[in-house]
Amino acid sequence: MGRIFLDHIGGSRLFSCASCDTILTNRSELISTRFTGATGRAFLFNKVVNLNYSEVQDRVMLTGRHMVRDVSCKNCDAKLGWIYEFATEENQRYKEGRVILERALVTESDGIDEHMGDD
Amino acid sequence: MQQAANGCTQRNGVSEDHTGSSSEKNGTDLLPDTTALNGGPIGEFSAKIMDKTSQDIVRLIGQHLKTIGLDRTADLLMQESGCRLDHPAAAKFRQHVMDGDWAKAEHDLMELKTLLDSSSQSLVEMKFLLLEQKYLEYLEDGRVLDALHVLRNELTPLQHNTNRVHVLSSYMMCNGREELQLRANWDGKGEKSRTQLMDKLQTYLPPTIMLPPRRLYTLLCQAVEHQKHQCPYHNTLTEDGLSSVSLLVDHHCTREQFPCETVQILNDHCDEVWFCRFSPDGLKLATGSKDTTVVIWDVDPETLTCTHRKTLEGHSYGVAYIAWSPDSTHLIACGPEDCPELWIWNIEADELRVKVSHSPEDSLTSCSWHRDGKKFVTGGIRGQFYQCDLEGNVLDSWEGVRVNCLWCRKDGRTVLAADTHHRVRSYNFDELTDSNILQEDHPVMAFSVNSADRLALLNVATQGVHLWDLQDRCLVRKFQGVTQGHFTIHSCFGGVNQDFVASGSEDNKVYIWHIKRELPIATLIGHTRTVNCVSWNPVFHQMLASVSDDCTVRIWGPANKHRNQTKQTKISDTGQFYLLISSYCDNDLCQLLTSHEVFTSFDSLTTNLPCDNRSVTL
Repeated sequence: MGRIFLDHIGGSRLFSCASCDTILTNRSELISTRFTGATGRAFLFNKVVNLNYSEVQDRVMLTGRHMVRDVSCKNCDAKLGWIYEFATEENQRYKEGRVILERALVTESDGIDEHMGDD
Repeated sequence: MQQAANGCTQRNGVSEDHTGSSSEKNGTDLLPDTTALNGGPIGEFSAKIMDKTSQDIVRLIGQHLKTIGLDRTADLLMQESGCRLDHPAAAKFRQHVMDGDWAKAEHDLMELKTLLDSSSQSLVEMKFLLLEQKYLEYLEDGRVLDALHVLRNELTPLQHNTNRVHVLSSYMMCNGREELQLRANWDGKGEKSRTQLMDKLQTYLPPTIMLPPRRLYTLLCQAVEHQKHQCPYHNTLTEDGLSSVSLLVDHHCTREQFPCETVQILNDHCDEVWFCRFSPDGLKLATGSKDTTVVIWDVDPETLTCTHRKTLEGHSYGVAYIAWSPDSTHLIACGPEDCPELWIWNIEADELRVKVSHSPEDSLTSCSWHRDGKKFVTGGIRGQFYQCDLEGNVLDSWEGVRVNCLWCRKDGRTVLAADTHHRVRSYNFDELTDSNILQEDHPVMAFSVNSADRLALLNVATQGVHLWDLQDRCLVRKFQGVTQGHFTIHSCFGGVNQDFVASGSEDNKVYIWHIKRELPIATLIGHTRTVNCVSWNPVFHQMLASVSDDCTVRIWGPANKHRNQTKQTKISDTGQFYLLISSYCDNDLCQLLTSHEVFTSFDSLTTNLPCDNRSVTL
């Protein structure tokens, strides 16, 4: 089948897939913890790697109507959350392009305290 | 065009496979069956020692001489050089084919068999071709029984290409030579079809046996093509073949034949000009501005200048994007962000067709016409993405895409849209499918697609101008030089074959690149503020338009002396005085010249002047 390429986002506190421990994102990409998914608490992240994306779906949520894609782990295909592609309400637009990961489906762990050069 | 097969070849111990082998002493090493030219003493010419390349060149020259009819020179050349054009067996073969002597030709094939290094398959194929010609010629002559004999007893036993044999047998039903020629796609019995046959047969023979036809001409054509490719400013349509170029000098267009100088500065707008686009027929230019107007200009094909045709008013938000219909009769004007309206103008009738206003919360900032000119797509950053008809009725709507720029592809089904996720995706409104095409790391402000529908030119915020291949979905080139960080800048393809790319820039310059090279080949200076948009005339390739925040539209063209300036001349009765009326930069200059002056200035003119012999009243 081939060797799946897995990116590593780095950082000092890492979030990884609960099923297979593939690194997905880190604390510095976290935007908000006040979201709710199917399994309970969920976090909004800016950049998440190693994901597979589904087709766009129209979903009505507490905050309004959104177009989202479900995301799953690239390595083991476990469901993880979703990504916002489009928000119909103006005040929800900040979510577009960002990823929700459900708390129960990811594990937090320590990374290496890397010093990233200034961009 | 017959090859010399009648005793002018000399077997002189030189075969073209030996490099640097000695070819002298042919006077003593002659084989008994050779005869010298004109019956003169054998060995009068001693062949020069030549390496393989020189031998090949001599053979090519000899072939060319034969082609133009200088047979004696060709023979002399072959004698003196000790080379031969074709192997004598091959020369004999050619002669027999051209004469239509099929029996002898087949016999020659047997002789040639030993010289053919490839398998027996090529022998069968060559035989097949010969018999095919023989069959067709019999049919044309009306010798049906003979043709049938060929078909049955000669072609069929070969057991080769039986499909073709079946097709050939159907030609027996043809009524007369015209029908035969039409159905068989055949030129008829004679030199032309036999030459074609010979060309086909020649491909099976190695070049040491028989030279490929017109080889020198082919090589020179390749060299000229190469020169044209290397030429950085090449912007003219030249025909294939050698008749339009000089072989004596390398082809090289200079920068001065390329649009590089300001030909016109048009001041009709009174505020920043944001967009410009030539119509697909090249005869009109539309410019859109913050001053709420679209100005339509007529292009004069001879002087490549613009004259004001009409000002279209009423675009209260300003005009940020313009798209011409494929037949150049209509155009759509879009506003910037927040503008919910679209104006569809009928340019031929110089009137507004319809103002489209679907909902006041819409933002419609980009549009693109369907190739049939009856529908178009439009969209904007608030998430509207509509397909509409010419009256502005929304036919279809795609939800959830924030559109930066749109383009309808040539297949008439897919629409490309650049969205706020830094992607360009493809949407099919009929089947409601979509797919990713490309992903950038920064926002795609605007893009256009070349006429081959293969390459896309993107203006990427803070990154410059990127060229992507839509089929292979990969980045081909990043063009360097442009400054952009703040404003929306547009770029375009242009030139003959769309070999060039041009873009505006925030440093007030227009940049032009050759599509194959990252560094600009020309930077046009003249505007005093950011150049927002450029458009290259799709028909008159020497003409480029650019618009800027300095409120002007600039038309660029080739340097002064390469421009087609003059409009009329009048010659006086005595032929002594010439009146040249030239139109240049809106000013009409009349120059009265004596004949001497005219002749000296003739070499700077690039076209023939239409002269009418009316007398001039002075």
